Amino acid sequence: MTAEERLRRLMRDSGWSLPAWPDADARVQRAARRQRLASASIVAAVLLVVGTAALVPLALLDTASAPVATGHKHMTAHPSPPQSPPPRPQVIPPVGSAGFPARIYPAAVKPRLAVSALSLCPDAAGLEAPGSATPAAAKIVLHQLGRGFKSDLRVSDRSAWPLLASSWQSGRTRLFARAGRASVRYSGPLRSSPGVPAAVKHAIVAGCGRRVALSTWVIVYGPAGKPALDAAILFVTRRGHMLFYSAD
Amino acid sequence: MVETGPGKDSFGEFVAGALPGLLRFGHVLTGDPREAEDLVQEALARSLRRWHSVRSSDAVPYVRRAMVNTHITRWRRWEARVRLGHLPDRSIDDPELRRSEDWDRLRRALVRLPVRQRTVLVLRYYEDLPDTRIAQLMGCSPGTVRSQAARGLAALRPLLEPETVDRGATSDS
Repeated sequence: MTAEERLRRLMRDSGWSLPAWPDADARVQRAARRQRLASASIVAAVLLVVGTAALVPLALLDTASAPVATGHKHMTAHPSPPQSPPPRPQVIPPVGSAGFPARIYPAAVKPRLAVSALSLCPDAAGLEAPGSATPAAAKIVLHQLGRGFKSDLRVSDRSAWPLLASSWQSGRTRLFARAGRASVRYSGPLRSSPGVPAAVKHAIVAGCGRRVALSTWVIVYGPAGKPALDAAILFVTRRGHMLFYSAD
Repeated sequence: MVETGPGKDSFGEFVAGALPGLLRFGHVLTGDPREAEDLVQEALARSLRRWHSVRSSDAVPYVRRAMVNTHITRWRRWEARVRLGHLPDRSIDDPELRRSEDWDRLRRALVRLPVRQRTVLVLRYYEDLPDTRIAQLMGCSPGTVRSQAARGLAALRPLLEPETVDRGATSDS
């Protein structure tokens, strides 16, 4: 018997069998309903990501103050979301416009490879490696995200601005009702920690380059008990300013 | 004449009949019972949403294709779990699932393989699909399928030596 035949035989071992679900049809119907809701609007999904990102600082502020927080710390959505303006077109300020100097907010660049959901990357100019002040800065940025379109722009790199503009244009008050719970699984530099999914590292290094990767600070979070749904919020520091740039 | 549109009424019957095979396929594909259940549930739910356009004779292949695509997409994003050494171990101590030492070794080895290699091996040796069909399913060339299969087989070869199988078969009998 060849190795291939043995493999074929072992793959057909009855050990692979699993018990069928007694409520299979109802279970699938429920899952289909969830999928329909989830895919009802791409805009809603984007809003959810940004909204969840806005909730993380609230939890971070309640957790231990260690710079690198691992493990599962459960947190609850803020009970009183801030006021949300009515939907209206949001205009992205051009490069070099007042209040947004080009040395801090240079034009975003296209990823080298289409390896991830990143549609834009931060410009590598002026980026700095994370330092001792980075954990605190990340908390501040997260805390500020979601308060207003202009204030979001001030704490974000231009590569995140299209996402923020579409979120604010669509209105964001629903986010706080949906976001629910999240657990912070990791907060730290992208470059060296096993707490960051390799797929995220690869996407940043291959898509945005080594300098962006070396400067990136990551917060990995997700719903309690569902690590497969983890998401990552990414930041860079440019000339002393910490900037949110992606939520993967 | 091609029979089309099984309809929602028949979906429940389809699930009842096809579920054991789909769960088994998902288990081989993922190496983990819970992930297999999640995968089957997600693929069936996706299929239900497009059930009106599924030919009844193609329903099982359709769902299996959805499982493969979902599995690859999911692991493309989260394969770090494998690279970081995460091994699903929920079934290791389940005596009902430990049919044989060889099977358990194979399960562990399959889980350690990169997702594309594992998927190619499952489609080739469990589903008996030709390489051209596998390539079509996975969105790559037949040459890539062959190279992935060769690498996967090479990784598994120590487990597939004759004495390993013979010992497992003896202890299992």
